[in-house]
Amino acid sequence: SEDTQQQIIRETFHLVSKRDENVCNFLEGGLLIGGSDNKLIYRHYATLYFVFCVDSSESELGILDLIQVFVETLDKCFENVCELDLIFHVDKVHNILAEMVMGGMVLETNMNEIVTQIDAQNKLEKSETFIFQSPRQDR
Amino acid sequence: MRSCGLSVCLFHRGDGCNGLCKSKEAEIKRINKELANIRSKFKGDKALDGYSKKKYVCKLLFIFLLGHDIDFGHMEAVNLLSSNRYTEKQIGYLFISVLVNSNSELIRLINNAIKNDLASRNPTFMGLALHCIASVGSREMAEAFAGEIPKVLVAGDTMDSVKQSAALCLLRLYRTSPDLVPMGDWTSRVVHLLNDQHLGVVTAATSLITTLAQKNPEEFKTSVSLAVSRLSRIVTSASTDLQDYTYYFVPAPWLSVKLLRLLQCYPPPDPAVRGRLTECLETILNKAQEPPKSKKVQHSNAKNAVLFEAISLIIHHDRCVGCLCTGSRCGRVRKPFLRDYVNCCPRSFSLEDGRPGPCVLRCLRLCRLSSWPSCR
Repeated sequence: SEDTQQQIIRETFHLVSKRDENVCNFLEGGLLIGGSDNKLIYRHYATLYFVFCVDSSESELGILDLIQVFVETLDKCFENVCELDLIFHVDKVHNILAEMVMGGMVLETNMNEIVTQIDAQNKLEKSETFIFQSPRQDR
Repeated sequence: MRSCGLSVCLFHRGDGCNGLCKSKEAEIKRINKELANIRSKFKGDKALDGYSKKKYVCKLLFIFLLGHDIDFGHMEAVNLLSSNRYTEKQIGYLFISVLVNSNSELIRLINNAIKNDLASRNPTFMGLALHCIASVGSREMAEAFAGEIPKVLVAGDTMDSVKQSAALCLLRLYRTSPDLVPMGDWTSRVVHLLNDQHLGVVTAATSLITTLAQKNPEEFKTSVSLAVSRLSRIVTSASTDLQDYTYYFVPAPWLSVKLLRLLQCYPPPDPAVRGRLTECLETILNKAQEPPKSKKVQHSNAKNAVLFEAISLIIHHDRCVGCLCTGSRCGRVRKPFLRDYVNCCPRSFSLEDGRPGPCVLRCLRLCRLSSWPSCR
């Protein structure tokens, strides 16, 4: 349910933000996430934590590198990505993530391929804006 | 960027308020005002045009992601699914994937929209539909689509990106409702995907086969030799092949790990294939001992991921042979596989009295990654 989702996010942040800089990037999830079957794998970039909650289906070191690929792709798509980009372009971030992860498994790891798909989607979006310019009263 | 406008305007509109709200109370007040506005627009007499619908649904999604509860907007999101425009469809799918609703009338409409998109032969729309099925993965969706997706996966004219999505979508449905995904003619065609040119398709197919093979090993045993030949092509490739899939000087690490995991579903293969597999594992173990090509932690992470999975496979084969030897059928004494593999790397994996050296044992213990310190 939505309430549980929000609680999980709060608990995860609580667990991860307490971590020191030079400890392991892997920890066991809190009680809400399924206890010791699932792990939290995170990476710390400046002020942001990227946390992936995983079970044993994918290689754990692979997930650590997947976070790196994700961040590098964000950087390529947004040009020097910063926190505000993630806040104001939530749907674009979701699209990029959708190119990489599907149904809980790794879909694509090749950064060039992902960026090509995102560029194609942007082109589609631009072409629709151009043709269907409707007068907008309120923004 | 249009989407920027949609979200930023949430905070810049009205009250001369420039920029984000200063306090929690102000934010809640602002959010409630916006929610009331959207509610009235949705209930209004005038039918909303596509752009406005999309704008408001996107705002609702943003508010939900901020942490507030949303209890309306599902119907409008479902309406967006039937639009012909990519951007509107996309927002509709995103909304229903994030805010899953169990209203049966809505589910019927959603399934209808997905069915139309799957049949549309437009790869972008098919991709969106498959993604939604994989994200939600409910039993109703499995009932509706579990028969359809294998056909999409193995059809000759499906695009690579759609094949990838279909493979993982099928995997998701199999995990939630295994009884609704029957084996059939498509299984042999899925095994052939391991030979595909596009490594993304091979990765997705390997994930799928690994899970399916655990419950249906007979159906997929032809995948073993294909997996070994694929793995040897990756591991022995020059650094300039596989350009796009080389990650910090390691060739296709995710795919290598997946292939090694697939091989752990089966006992050691027959001698012809086993020879090739031994060469691969030798190469991986040897590469692990070479000086690193890069100081970056990503390089060592990727290299170690492949190394640990290779060691896992070796242990698995060793255990298998151990089991076979206890049976009364096995007359001759068979050399443990572990010793065969470890023999080829004399330096740190040294052999003492036919038992693996301490370095190997340390590596094997360290296969439990949660105790392995972060590689810095």
